[in-house]
Amino acid sequence: MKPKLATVVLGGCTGCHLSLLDLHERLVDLLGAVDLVRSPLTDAEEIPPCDIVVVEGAVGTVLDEETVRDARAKAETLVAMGACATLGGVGGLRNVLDTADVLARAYGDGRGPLASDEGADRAIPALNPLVRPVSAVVDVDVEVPGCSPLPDMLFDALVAAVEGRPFEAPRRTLCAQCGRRHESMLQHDSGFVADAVYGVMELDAIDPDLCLLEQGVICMGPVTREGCGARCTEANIPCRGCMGPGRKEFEQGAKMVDTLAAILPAGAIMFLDDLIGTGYRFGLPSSVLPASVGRGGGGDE
Amino acid sequence: MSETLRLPAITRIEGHGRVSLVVGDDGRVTDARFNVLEFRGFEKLLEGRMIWEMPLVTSRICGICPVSHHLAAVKAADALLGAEIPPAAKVLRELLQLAGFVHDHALHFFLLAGPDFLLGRDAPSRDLLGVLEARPDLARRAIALRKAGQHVVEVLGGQPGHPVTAIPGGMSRPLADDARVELLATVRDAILGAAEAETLSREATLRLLAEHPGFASAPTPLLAQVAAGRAFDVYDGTIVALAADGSVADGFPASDYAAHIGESTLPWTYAKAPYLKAIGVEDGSYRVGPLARLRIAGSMRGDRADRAAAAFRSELGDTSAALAYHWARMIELVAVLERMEALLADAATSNAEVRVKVERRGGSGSAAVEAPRGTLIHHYEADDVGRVTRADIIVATTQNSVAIGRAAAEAVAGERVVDGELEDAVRLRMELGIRAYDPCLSCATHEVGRMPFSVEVIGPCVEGR
Repeated sequence: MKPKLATVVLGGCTGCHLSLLDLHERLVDLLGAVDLVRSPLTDAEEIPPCDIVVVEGAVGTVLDEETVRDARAKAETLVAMGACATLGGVGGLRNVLDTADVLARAYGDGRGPLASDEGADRAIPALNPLVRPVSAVVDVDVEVPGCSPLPDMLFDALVAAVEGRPFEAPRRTLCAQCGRRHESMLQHDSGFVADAVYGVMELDAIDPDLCLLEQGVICMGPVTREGCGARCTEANIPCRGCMGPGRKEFEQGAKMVDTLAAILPAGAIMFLDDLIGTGYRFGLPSSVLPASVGRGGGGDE
Repeated sequence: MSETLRLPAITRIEGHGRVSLVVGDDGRVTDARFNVLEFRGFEKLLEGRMIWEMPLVTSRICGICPVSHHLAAVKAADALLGAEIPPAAKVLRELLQLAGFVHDHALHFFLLAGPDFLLGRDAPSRDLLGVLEARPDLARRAIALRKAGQHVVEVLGGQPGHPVTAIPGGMSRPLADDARVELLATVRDAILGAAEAETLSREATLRLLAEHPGFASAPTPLLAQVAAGRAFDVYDGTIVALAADGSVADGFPASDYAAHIGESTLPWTYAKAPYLKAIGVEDGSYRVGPLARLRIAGSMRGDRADRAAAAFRSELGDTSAALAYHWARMIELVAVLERMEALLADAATSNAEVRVKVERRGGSGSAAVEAPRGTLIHHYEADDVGRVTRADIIVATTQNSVAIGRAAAEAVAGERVVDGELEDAVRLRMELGIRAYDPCLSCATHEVGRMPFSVEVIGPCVEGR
């Protein structure tokens, strides 16, 4: 009998499901090897008991929480797919903000449906005060990092799940995969590697071969796990850390401050322009940082 | 007394949506609401980020049309920073936007909405699995078209999921000439498939219109950004709005959007709805997307697409039917591929000059692109060091929300509810009405304040909404 597979989207952008579609012909192979019993692409709504449930998105609302608990209860193997599910994702940037402020910005006059609680008549699920990765709510068996995950990696992870094998994404840092050249960074006596910190748009010319940090551009490569194919740095765009830290034990943004302090003039301070939006763009809900501003936080419950 | 009944989620749309029906004492539906069930609050999350990061952050609003957010954001950032981009950068960005249409339109027509009307009655299910089982030829067609579009997105944008290469001042890298030639071949291969899809959509649309005469066909104002001479353009141009009678109601550059597009607060709902100030709150609610673009554009800028558009006009005239969106969408699929072919055939597209240096500064900037579902507007304000202090984003689905709600309400008004469900045929009609607009709730829910599609059926007043 074919293994039963279900996929669900919590708070996310559907981009991970697009990565599944971007398997193209291999999607047909995959669908031939499993019995797809529930997905946003099909008509079934309830999650039946299955062998594998793949979850995209973070837990941001009461409904997300209900859905993910249901998914866990129904699944033999639970796969967290993408940055939102594994780290909390971009939507987690609201974890350092007051939920009321976020709602006020959306509603303006505060007259949105969440402003009144009419019990059963309330059509919109209530917001949890914090966005959480799936692993903070239920046990997760397999994690596939990335925003969006590379289709190849998704395919490998799902085939492993179908065959009952473990899957582990690579653990070195992006720098191991990015082919850019280091010059002054490797010389102990060189001092700082760039004279200031720039946005890519501010460079006179972009050197396509030299390390972006050595060109003065903040790149999260040193604190981000490999496995994405280094496609951003290949395209002259600095890493923004969507694969998450190579090891969950360290704070991705804080580790970056540490890294920068050694190699850029006042690097850490410049980085503070937007420490959260750059250092924790995809992983704020997995960080202890929200706790430091009185908003709880931390990865695991 | 009335009770509210929640139907199961609407599947095969991008995001979480559900319809709630208000049922009167006689067991018949008096009101319907399209509820959106997610909230991420993106506009607030963008505050404090640096302006040049907007293209990289906002592409995460939507995994279906990340290209559109990436480009609307970078254009607004260009405007804020006073950057004039080189011609080749504009061409590469336009190509990227066009490629985003290819995968998106093919996905919707063949795999999301199409299963409602492309499969025979004996298909095992009206979804992706049903297509694979009953019409593997259509599944292959969808995959081939999506693959071609996503390949171009990946080459130009750096990756297919969330493209990264558009930066204030231009593009982060040029297109190598051998890559240009390879993409040209990819696009030429795809045009034939798109033409077949267009034929299929024509037949399906005419059949649907015959099966559901007059359904969701009330004329409304329409809005789209078009190039000079009202030519089809997905990347740049001027916004044109037609009144419900088809006359030109307004025209303005995206930078003036706030002076021309208002947001109404309706007495019976918390939802806000964008409207044309030139027409007014009462009747100014408008639609965007493929049908609006086809009605507004005088030229599709491609021979095949222009012939198809002429056939559309001779069959349907100035139609307002939601179901006509399907045909219009596939005419666009042909048009975008023809435009891509023209741009890629030009060796100047591989020009190495694709960026100018841009200095950080403060100010404000707005811009629009045509996203697959309709006009997408991004607006930013930033302080002196370029940190965003305010962001405003108007997505296509928000602008269509009133029409989507009306289509749903029209399908169910007066129908009887038995055991908590509508009759299959009624539910199918409602879903046809909703899916015709290809609603993207991933996009729409960045701003939940505007999104709960609350719908009022014209009829007896119902208390307790």
